[in-house]
Amino acid sequence: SHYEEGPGKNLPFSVENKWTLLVKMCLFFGSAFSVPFLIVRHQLLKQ
Amino acid sequence: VHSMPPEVELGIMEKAIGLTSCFVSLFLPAGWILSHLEDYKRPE
Repeated sequence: SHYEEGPGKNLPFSVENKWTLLVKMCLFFGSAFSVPFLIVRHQLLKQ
Repeated sequence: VHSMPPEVELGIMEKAIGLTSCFVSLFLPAGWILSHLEDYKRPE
């Protein structure tokens, strides 16, 4: 079988639009970075 | 495999918006929670 070749063609997300990509990256990395802080908040509120 | 120069060079405004968005999305939620840590603690 043959797959499309070239920049961005072997990724599970689209890099066609830079602003869409920026939003996706902000959500992906931002949500992951905030998880430990949210856990601390959750634990403090639980007491 | 070989790379080429960008088809469209990013402008200064686009770089600023992109970098600012990255930093804000990383540090705003964390900063919000860290600055309100005392509010989350219950008085004994």
